[in-house]
Amino acid sequence: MSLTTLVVAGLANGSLYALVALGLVLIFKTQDVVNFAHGEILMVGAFIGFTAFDRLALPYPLAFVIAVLLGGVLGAVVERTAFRRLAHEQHITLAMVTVGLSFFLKGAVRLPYGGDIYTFPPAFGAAGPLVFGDAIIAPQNLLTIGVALALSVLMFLFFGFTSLGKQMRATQQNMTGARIVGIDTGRVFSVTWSLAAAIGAGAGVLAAPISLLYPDMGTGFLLKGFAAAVLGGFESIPGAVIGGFIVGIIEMLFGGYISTAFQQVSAFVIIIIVLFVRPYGLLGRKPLHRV
Amino acid sequence: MAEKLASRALRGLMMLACATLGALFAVAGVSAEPGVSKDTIRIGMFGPLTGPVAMYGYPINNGAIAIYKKINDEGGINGREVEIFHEDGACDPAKTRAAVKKLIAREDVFMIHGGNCSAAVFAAREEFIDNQVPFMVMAATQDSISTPVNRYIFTTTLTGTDDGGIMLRFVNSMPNVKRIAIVRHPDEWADSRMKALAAGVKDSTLEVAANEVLERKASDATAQVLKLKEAKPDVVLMFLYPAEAAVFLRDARKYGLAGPVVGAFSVSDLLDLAERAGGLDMVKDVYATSYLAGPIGSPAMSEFTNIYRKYFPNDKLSSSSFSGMSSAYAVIDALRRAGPDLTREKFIDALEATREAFAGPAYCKISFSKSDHRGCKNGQVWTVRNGQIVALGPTWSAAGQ
Repeated sequence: MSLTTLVVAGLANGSLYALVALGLVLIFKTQDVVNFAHGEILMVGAFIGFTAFDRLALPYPLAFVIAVLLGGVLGAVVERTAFRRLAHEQHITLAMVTVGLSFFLKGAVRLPYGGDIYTFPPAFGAAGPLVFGDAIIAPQNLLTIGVALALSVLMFLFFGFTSLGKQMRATQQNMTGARIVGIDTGRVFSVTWSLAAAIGAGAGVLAAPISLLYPDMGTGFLLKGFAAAVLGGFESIPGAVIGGFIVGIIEMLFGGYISTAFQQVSAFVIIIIVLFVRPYGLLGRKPLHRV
Repeated sequence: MAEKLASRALRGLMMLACATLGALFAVAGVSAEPGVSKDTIRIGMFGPLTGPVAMYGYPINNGAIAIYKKINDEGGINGREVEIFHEDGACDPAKTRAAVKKLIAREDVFMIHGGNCSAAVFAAREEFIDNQVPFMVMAATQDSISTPVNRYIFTTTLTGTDDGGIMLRFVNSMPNVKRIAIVRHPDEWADSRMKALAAGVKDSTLEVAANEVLERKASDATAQVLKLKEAKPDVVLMFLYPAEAAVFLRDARKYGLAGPVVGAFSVSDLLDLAERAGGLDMVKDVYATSYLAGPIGSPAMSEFTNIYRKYFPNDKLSSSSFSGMSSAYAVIDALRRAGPDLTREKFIDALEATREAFAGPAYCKISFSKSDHRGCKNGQVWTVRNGQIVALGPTWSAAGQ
């Protein structure tokens, strides 16, 4: 069995988990809440992409851009309408709002599409896989990996080198302090939600051609993305990406070389073992408390 | 003397009251049997009407309802019309059990005809037995629902064992097949088919070259496909639900896993499978067992297609639209033979006396006995030719291959 084939397929799946993890980490860092609706944001993005690509026959890149933009708008609307007023409520309250949001989004998509399962056509049409020796690599997999890496690098640059990115980091570290120095924290929240949802929607358009398209498709991705974020360190953006890749590769190699019966749980077992050694994840740091 | 007279008068009054009541009941046609009146027979129906599986729940139930409506339009059964009472089980064991309880206790139904999700139906099994309410399975296939035999539970669907047997018979009839590979879900649904397969393989020249698991809701089958490909099988047997089968076939084509694939009844709607997997090319050399006499649009199905369309003109027809019909025919046939003085026990006796009865759109004939409540054990194999599903018959040679 080709190790390269398995690793590339694992990286492609891992890229999707990484993008989901990235969205989760962004919101967690800013509002200290796990967004349980992030899988549904991915699903909404996938359906937007499907509508544009399949129903409206627009080119795949344009469908991707439309999904990302509308995903961003969705994130901003959700933040402004549902979370802005609750920003200071307990975490459990915010988490429950995200649970409610996930049901709302699923219901909203079921209205026009029902509960049926759709197929997102491959982005590269009938193009066959690339063959290198005994390795078989699907073009869609390469696209997924490339886009995930590009988005991760963009996020890294955004947070490290732009004014808005620095404002977001400041708000994440100390919201009161950020307000005192004049940062518009409301805008920061809005941009964070928008960014996270745009990334989630983009992940949906990438995931749909190699998965299946239906209103409940987000749950599995949320679970794996959550695992990736925990593995990488829930407050680390590079950690989320690395965690995603690791989860994807582990489950593929486990299925390929050990057993397909335990493929789905394999990554979680490895994560538990890693967390015994590094409780804050691979790139996470123990939080410091001033006394 | 006066006391005697008063006592006689009282006794007379009581007798008169009893006689009047008896006459009233007789005139009103009220029977002591639950769910049966002079004009109606109340049948409870449940299934997944909400949740992700509702897309199968409605067409399956509607197929049975169409048959009952047709019978009502033709004058009913022994002068009585069938009244249907619906409950939603949502494919959830707890909700299904509650739905069954409600049908029995509140709706006071004569019998229950329903159930499309095996685990949910199995969870409600004791309710039928404890309450001694006759139950006809609508479309659930788990063996343990109807085996071991219980007096109150009947099925006309192909159980998992029977479905696995049909797959094995077809594979055994294929020329030059020695090595088989299996991809399956890790659940009772697949296990029941696997049991039949394992028993049959033992007595054949077939060798299981690979046996891989694909979880429910899996969105990737790369590892499974590569392992199966490495085993170099002559044929792949696929015990998967449609969504996962589509994922598997798509990855099989992607990674070059060639050769025939034989699927279970779950993927008999091969055009739907092709659509999910990404095109007709995905179901080339794919076969699936079927419970039905013919694919949608074939002459064998025209009568039942017309019936369904008459009562549900806005529904999109699928294989599911016909899955509940044969059991409705079995129920109607037994109700007729049970006679006008209908009781549950007479109905069950009539069901157990069913021999080679009409099964509507199903491939089989329905037979029950006291020791066997699985009424339908035969099916055939379908494939896609020139963009259409065609019935091949039960074996490779019958298909003229």
